[in-house]
Amino acid sequence: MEANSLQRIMMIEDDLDIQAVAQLALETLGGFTVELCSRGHEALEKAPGFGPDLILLDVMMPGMDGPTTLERLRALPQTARVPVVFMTARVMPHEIDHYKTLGALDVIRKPFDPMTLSSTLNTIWNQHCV
Amino acid sequence: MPARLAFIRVGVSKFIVDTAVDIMEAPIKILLVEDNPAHAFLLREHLADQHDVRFDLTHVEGLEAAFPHMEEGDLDVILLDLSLPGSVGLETLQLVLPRTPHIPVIVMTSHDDKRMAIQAVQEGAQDFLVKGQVDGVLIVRAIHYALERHRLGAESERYLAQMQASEARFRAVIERNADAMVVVDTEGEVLLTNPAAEEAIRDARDDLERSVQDRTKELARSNEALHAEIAERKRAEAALQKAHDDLEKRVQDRTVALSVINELLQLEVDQRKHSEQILRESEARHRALLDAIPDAMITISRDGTVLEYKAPREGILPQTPSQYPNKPIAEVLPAGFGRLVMEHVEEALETGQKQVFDFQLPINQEGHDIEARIVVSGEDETLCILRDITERKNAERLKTEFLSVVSHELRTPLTSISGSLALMAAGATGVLPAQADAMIGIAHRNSERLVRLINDLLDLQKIESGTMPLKLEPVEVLPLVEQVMEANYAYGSRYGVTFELDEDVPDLWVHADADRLMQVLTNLLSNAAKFSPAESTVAITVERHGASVRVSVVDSGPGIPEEYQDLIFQKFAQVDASSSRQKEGTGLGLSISKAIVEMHGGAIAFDTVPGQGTTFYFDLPEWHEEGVEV
Repeated sequence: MEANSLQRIMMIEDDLDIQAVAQLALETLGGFTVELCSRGHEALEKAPGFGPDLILLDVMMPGMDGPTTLERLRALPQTARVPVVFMTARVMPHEIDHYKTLGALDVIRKPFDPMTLSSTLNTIWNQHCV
Repeated sequence: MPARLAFIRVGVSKFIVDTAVDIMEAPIKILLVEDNPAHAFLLREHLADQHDVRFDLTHVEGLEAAFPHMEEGDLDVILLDLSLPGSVGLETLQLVLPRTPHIPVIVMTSHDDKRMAIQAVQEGAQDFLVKGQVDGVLIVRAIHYALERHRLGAESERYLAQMQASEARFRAVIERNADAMVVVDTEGEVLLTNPAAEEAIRDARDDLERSVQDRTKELARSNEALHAEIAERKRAEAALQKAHDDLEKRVQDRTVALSVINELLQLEVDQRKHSEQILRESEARHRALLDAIPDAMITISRDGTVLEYKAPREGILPQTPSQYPNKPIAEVLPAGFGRLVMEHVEEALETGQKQVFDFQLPINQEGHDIEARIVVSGEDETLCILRDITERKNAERLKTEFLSVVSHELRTPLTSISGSLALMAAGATGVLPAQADAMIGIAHRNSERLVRLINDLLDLQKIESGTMPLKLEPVEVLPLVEQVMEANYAYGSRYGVTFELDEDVPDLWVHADADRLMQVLTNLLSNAAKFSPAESTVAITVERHGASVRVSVVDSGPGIPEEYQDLIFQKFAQVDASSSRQKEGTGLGLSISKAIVEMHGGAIAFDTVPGQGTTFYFDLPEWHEEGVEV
């Protein structure tokens, strides 16, 4: 395994069903190590310990939403430079622009194709982080 | 030298004859021609009774016997019976008279021949006697009268002869005279002229004739000239008459024309009055309409001066209308807004195009969305219409928010459903029994269909509200097409259809939103795959078409029936409902594709042959690296 290859992914998603689908797709099909979080606060707590290569972040979540979570993650030294990809159903053009303005590498639309999710993330990783 | 002309006037000759009967003592010799002895006897007896006169009577019974006596001439008078043997009536007298020119004849007739007796006197007899009505005195007197008339006649002849002789002498004297002489009577009538006079007269006549001829010619010429003048005058009169008639006609025509014009003018005046009335009514309606319109309308000159205004009663603008006229617009409207209005005024006047923009204006501590429309309303003049669109904007924002939320709320469960189904269908969760695998496949395909429908509906909403932004950038067509073909490979395989790209694709670029272009191509490829028979190929070509790039997708499907061809780009259009269900389409793809292509300044169309296939193609303006679109 190459040193700069994508291996550890933290997924922050309040919908447990989506969590389950994504986990299966990423772990079983993609071979990634996945840490699941249902809330922004949970992610802020787990992220420094988990040390993700990439964070997959939902936008609309109860409590702390995705953009706020991103902002907070950027404030943590351990996650300040970890690339973040939003995964959301709110994909109006202006919304996508907004996410990128916040510092997201890319945006994956919901519903996503679990069969291609891993390859999509690898592509993004290779484009921006290698 | 002309002869001297002398006129000799003569008086009426008068001969005075002594009418007294010269009673001669010698007997009067009488020849009696009478075939009736009784009448001869009776006559003789009457004469014998006249004692004052002596008669020497010779009696013969016929002309034969009488002629010798007549030729001897020794007779004073002849008594002639007109009814003689061998000669009756006037014939008797006509036989006698030539033989006795110097002897008076008295005819004797019966009572019934009185008329003839008168004719005899007219023929030359001196008198007549009616037998049975005479006596001696009457006979003697008749004889005396006959003798006297005869004598007077003879004397007249003698005088006449003398006069003729005298005249002959006179004429001879005159004719031989060298002087021109003309004899005229007291009435001025010419009785005689001598040769000299005739010559003089002839000369004079000749002169006169020449003069007359000359004068005649002159008169003829004058006459001719006069005729010519008359003809000319007639022509002139005719011309004058014609000119007069023409003038009359023109006057009449002009009068008619003026009458018509007058009527037309009257009509026009009436129409104008009517139009003015309509205009007044229309103006009143328009004014009422304008008053009812909740927009502010401001007429602004090129230099930014407010010329006219109309503000709604409940104004969205901070100043009252009376403060507007003749002020710069920048002083009337809030600074930022006024400046923006002026920029668009200048743009409108420069381009002639309507200018529309929105501006958020703080009014009474609230933000109001104002839509400004600026149109050119005259030379160096624009009309600015300001409308409060706060409510509309709010509604749009709510709608957008609603769609976003709905989209999110629908997509979230769909993410789990379709994701799970995809994993199961792919065998990521282990091998399923055959029937379960088939059912999972059905569920997966329909969940994908639902996702596409939601995506299409959102796209359509964005297109219709004009909120679909395009990220335009230079896009190389070939890699983009290849990418779409690759992405749709699996989809094509599902229908047993392969996509084939034309080998010789030129290096072509367009200025486009790559994602949207891929969306269009995906739609065309998926349609082609859906409608093509299994084991067939869908051909894709990319070519330069004039100043455009044309991308074509050619299938060998059933083609589009003619009755559907006009509907194919409409929303929810598919060839038929059963096909729609069978082919899993949303019916929005072509409508969205058409909108996207047109937003790029291109066009989309198709050629189809029922039973053979369809070619969908779109053209986009070609982009060149130097930035010049051809």
